[in-house]
Amino acid sequence: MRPYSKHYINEMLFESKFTSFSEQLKDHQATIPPQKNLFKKLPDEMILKILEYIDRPYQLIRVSCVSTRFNVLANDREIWLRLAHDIKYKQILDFSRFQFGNPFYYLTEKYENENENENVNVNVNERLVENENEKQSREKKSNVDSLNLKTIHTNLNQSLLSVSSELNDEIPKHKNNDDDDDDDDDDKTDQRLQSPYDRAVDRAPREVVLGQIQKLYGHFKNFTEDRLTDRQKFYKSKLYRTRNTLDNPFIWFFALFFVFAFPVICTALQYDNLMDHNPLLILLPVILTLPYFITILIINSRLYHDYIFLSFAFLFIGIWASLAILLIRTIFKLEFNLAYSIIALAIFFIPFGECYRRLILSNRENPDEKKKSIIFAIYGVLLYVLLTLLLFYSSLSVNNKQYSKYALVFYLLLCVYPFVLCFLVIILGCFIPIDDFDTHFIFLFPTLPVIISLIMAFLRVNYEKDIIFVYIMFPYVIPYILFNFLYLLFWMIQKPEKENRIALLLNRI
Amino acid sequence: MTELGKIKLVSSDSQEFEVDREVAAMSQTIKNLLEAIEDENTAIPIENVKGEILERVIHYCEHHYNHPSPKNLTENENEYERRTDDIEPWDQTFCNVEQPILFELILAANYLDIKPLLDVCCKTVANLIKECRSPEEIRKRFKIKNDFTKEEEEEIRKENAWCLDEK
Repeated sequence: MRPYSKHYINEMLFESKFTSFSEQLKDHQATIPPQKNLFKKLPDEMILKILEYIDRPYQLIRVSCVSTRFNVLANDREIWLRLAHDIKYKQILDFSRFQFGNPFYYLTEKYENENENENVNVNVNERLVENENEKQSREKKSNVDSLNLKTIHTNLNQSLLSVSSELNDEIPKHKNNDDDDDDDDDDKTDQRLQSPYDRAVDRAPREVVLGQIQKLYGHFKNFTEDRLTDRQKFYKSKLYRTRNTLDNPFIWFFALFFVFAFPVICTALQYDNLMDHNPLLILLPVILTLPYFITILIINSRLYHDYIFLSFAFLFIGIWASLAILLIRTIFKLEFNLAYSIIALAIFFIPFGECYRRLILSNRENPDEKKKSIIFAIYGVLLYVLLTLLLFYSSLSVNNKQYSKYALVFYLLLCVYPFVLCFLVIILGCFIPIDDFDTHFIFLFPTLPVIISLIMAFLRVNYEKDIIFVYIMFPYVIPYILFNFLYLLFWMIQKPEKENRIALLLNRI
Repeated sequence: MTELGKIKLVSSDSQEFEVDREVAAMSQTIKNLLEAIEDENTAIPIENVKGEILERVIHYCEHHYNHPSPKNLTENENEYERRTDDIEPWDQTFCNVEQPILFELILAANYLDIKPLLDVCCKTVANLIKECRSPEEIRKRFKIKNDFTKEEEEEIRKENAWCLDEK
């Protein structure tokens, strides 16, 4: 008898402590590639079962382009119907996700759903007429070139409505009936035979299903402008081009700006008598932030969501203004630290950007979404108001040689703020559905430099240490700029799916 | 002679495994066989499954027998939902194997009719597919031969341009 061994699982468990699951999978696939097509071993039913777990139409489409066998299997009508059902009924729209992610399908999905629902509601009385038209259009469809989706799309509008209304109306009924007749196996079997899926599969040709998916999923190109509201037009023009998270240089720039440039700026702002040391020091943050400001301005205003950029643009502008005022103040030896006040104002503008974003993006048909947006907006404003007031106080009390206690409290709060924010998200998440962590992790970025500043403030004996601190930052500057420009270069020249990004960037600029 | 409450499974390469009867009964196929067989000491041949794979399957069944997942109890509540991000950490580790083994596990789970194992393996393969960003990447990862003619490929690309273009 061969003893039952667990060595392999122990090995895997050991590995799993250090790497994520997907990393491990990738490692496995990378190191030990299969020697032959393993799908050949699987029967069609098994592959269909795997494909059932593909929950995005474009992923299924990719599969259908792999080989002839996959093309047949991935075009299975039932899978597409199931997908249509999932897309239609799942509440997967979470605007926070697309803030730094790939919003394309979320957005389009929502608009298509909205528009479709509107149409369904408006055209209830016309449905009978449409059903007759559907039969006619189906006869026409058989003659239509199945590859010409444009034609199909226009021809199938009426069919789509009836199929979707059928799904709308009958699935809940079906579920209710199931609950009522749980005990009766025969009845169950009958109902399964009469399920909306079966009926829809019987009635709808593949093109209808595919067309419906297209319609639900966001076929922006065929979407007529007059069906969009102003808000949707805004998104279409601004967000349609948004790409994947890792393709988004804004994330990288923003993160690196805070990690490296922000401490320098903080330090520079803390000087009251820069001229006594080296007046060129004040130019350091300027030199550091200028290329970033311009790059972000160019890239994000053209490729990414302007409204997010705008909210941070206030901060950038505030920092620049405060630097200028600090310079003037240093030259003319003014007493009042206006720079702090200006930067406080700049920070104060961020919640307006956030409120604007949340309110404009809130799903107004969904009260939960609306409530969530409002709560976030309110607590965001309150937190920022608190910080701003503290900053104003500290600005009034900073003297030439020491930090005020208000300034220290401000720094302390700024350190704690991201964690408080995340904690609040967790607490609020207990009461209302919130999936917003990714949005707020961005606020963790300033934590490190602020902590460094706080330590500097506590250790502060004289300004010489700040000078050292500023010079310590220098070694970071070169790799920092180099890295970012290399990244930008890389981003521009890489060609995913045979697409020249330089041309793309130039076109869009 | 097997211990009381245990049965003997024999893999296709003649490896023998002694398993608790209840654990083995997680497989519908074995459960049906057990009901049909009168002599409890009879070794049950699992013709289509190799020893290495059967060992893993038994390990899976033992774990889930000892640690029943609450999710499995409510699994059928939403039959329309198809998620791949809900694989439990233990299952993730379990499925973190080379592709040939993963596919063998799928076949074994199908043959032995162990639905949770089949589901989790299918989800893992689906996740691998979902990680691919293009049909070419899927072919590369799974060593699938592109058997489309040029014309067919062009037609399919044209047909699906609405979603392939922007991803």
